[in-house]
Amino acid sequence: MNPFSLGLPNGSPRSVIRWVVRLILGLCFVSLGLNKAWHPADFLKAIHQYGWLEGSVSLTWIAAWLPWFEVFCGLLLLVRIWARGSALVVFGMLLVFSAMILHRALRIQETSGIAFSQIRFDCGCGTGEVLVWRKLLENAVLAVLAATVFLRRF
Amino acid sequence: MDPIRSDCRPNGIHWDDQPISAPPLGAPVPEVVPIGDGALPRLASGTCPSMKSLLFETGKVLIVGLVVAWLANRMSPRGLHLGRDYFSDPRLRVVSPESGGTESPATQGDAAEASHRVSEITSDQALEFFRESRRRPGEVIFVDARKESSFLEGHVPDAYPLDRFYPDTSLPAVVMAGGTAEVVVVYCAGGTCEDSHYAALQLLEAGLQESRVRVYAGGFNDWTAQHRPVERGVRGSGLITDPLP
Repeated sequence: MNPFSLGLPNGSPRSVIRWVVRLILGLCFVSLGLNKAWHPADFLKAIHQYGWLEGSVSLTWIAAWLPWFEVFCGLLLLVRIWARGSALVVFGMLLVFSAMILHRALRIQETSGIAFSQIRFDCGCGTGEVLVWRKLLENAVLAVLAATVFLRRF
Repeated sequence: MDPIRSDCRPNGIHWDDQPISAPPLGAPVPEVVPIGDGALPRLASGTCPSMKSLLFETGKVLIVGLVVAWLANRMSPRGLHLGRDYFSDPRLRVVSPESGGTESPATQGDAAEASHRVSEITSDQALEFFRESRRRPGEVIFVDARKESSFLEGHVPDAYPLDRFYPDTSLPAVVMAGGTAEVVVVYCAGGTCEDSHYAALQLLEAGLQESRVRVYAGGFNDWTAQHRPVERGVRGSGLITDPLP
């Protein structure tokens, strides 16, 4: 690989598709990661609302490191260095995030009786308060994109 | 480059924009076994090297990424203190007006270790203290424990900002003002917000007396809902809306 190409497409349709997929994934993770990294206290409060890892410093570590880790993975995807490994990590993160969001939403639905389609909260995703179903759909699309990168399906 | 790294495909098609390099002269050519229609062939003698390289790459991303994240948090002016649990402090006990003066733990900490006690006040009491602060400036002060951007959008007039996550910049000024004040009223957004309690704990640990520090549990949401005065911008900006009748 030309080290100066930084993963730019070589003109073939496949390379263009791959480039667009990595661009979308990379930009998403860089922008959302930076947003959280710039407001780590807000992110910490948001993930505290999930009620997991109470009474330990693990939550602090996650709030301190995860945003920067997301930025790092996003940058790797953009410049196509360790892109497949980054895509697999991003895929794993999206699965975990989605499972946590779904679990919390179901808990809210159970206790409040609100329709699932109406449930909204700050999921700690860097986008503020969101409709849960929309966030889950967004995560699913990103996960599919990530899978195409590490499985090299395009 | 690994000659068979390009996805173990036997027909020369590759996914990575990279030509498949020929094996060095004299090197054995690995046997390739197609699976099904040949879409996912693998080496006869072991795992597909592409999968190995993927796992190896993932490991590198995880290790280097965590180091980068640790360094970035350390260097960031907004970085968090890794050794601190921001949501569990057994040193604080809360006295709520609704509970008739009985104590309840602010957090899930061990009650036996509680070393500080803080009293909550009602919305009406907060208003009384505010009027008192107008009559006797400096004797009663308000402390806003929300983040800086929320403070700038609007706060109780003349309130001191104190972001409990980054106390280094604002705590000294609040402690200095609180040291001479009779009453220090701390508030955050209200509702489930706990920042005012933790900010009050920081003030107590900085030396302020328990009897002087109060927490306005209704917080800023209650304050604005009651159409009380709000100052925009920095403390003392004078940009006050909704003055008291």
